[in-house]
Amino acid sequence: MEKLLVRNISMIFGSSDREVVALRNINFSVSAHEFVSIVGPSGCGKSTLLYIIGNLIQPSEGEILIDGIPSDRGSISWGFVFQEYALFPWKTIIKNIEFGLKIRKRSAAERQKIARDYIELVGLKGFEDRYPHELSGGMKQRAAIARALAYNPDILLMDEPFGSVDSQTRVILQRELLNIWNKTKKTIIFVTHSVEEAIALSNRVLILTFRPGSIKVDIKIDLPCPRDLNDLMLTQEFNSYRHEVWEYLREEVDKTSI
Amino acid sequence: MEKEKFLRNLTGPILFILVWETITRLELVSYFALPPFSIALKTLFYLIIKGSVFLHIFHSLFRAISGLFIAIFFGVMLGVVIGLSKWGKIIASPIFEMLRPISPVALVSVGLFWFGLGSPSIIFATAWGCFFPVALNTISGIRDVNNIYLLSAISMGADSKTIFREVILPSALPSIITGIRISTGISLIVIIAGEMMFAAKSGLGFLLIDGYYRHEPARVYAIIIIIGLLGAFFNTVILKFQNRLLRWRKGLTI
Repeated sequence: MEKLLVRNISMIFGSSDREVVALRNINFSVSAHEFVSIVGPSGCGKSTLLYIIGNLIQPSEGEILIDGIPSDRGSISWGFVFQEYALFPWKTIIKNIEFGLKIRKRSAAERQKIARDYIELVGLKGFEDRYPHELSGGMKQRAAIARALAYNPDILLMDEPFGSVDSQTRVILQRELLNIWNKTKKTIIFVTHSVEEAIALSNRVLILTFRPGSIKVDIKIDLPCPRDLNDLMLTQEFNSYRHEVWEYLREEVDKTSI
Repeated sequence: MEKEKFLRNLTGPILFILVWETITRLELVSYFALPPFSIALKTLFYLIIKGSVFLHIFHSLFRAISGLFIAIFFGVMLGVVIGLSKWGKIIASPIFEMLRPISPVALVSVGLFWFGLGSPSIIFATAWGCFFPVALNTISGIRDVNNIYLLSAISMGADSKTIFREVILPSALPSIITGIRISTGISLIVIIAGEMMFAAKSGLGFLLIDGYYRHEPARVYAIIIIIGLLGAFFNTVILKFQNRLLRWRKGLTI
């Protein structure tokens, strides 16, 4: 059975005289442990779609089902990683990571133990008591991932998580995300504007059309797992996927320049 | 290195005192306008040895701190309520804009009508003057919480009570402390002025005006030095307090 079902989602912004249809009739499902990327031209509403899945925005129409049950804020079963880190600057790294557990009323000792495990998982050992502004962008994003994972949600929603780090850090973080995914077996929905990143990481790539956003194609990425990203990029298969995704995407990107 | 820097920073004040001493000793200005620094300092020692000045310092401090605390209490409470509610700001803003420009010193006279002669009238005016910076900075601190922090707390399932305690309040804290810092300066101004208006027969302001009527400029300048030191003390305390509470911002340039 599907882990997540996105049913008939539409999103209309603005008032009746100046409406902007951001998303129209989005339907797709994601199985447990699947890694699905959403790509599309800027302004297609891919982040909006992720916010709707994460219940941070109410859609104009449609519903989100998790394990067959309509999702609401009361029963949160996802972790959200934002593009701009979103760590609380007034909390140390470990307190940031403990936050979701604190909300769930876990004891202080238990919170600390779990937080330390996740700090180790994302490779931030030794930085527990630092404040976010003392960390580099890549380290902040690792901490943000640990924070989203610490309370053990089934689904990880990531909104261009590596969009604001430099390209070298980005490659390292991508590799580590794949490791984390293999270890934790989460279901991941990953929004990105990078075609290469989407193909390299995912089982499936959804391409959204330009305004109003709807699903143009749903491409299954049949590449071996676990993957070595460096080798993968050189393979014939990777390049033909890249070509295919770009062909679809280009039609939409062209519309944005009109 | 630290010591060297400290000594270097003393150059300005020493120069200032030297100029003061020289022009007064050369009688370039009259003794009543400005007595020599050394005489002011001698009077200051005399006041300290006599000891009665400490009671006046205590009275002034008590009034300043009482007024400040009342202002912080009501300022933060009202600021939070107004900052969180949509209607709060709509109703409160025009009232604040109307009342804020009134000089708090003027309110001493209102205090005298309400409370009679004595400390309460001065404390009332001080609290009035200190209330607005605290309240207004609390309101803007609460309203300016970055949306991404709210979203990330919501995404982890935080309820509104947790969001207030763990996100809104700490995020507004730098702004609240700024308000408190502005208010400490105001509190000293208002108490000195109030005491000079004979609203109470004690305090540093009272000693100042008393020294004037007794034609003792050296005493006036000695008291002014004490007031200056008191201001510096207030500032140091608030900076320590700020650095302690805002450790997480150290090194951040905002």
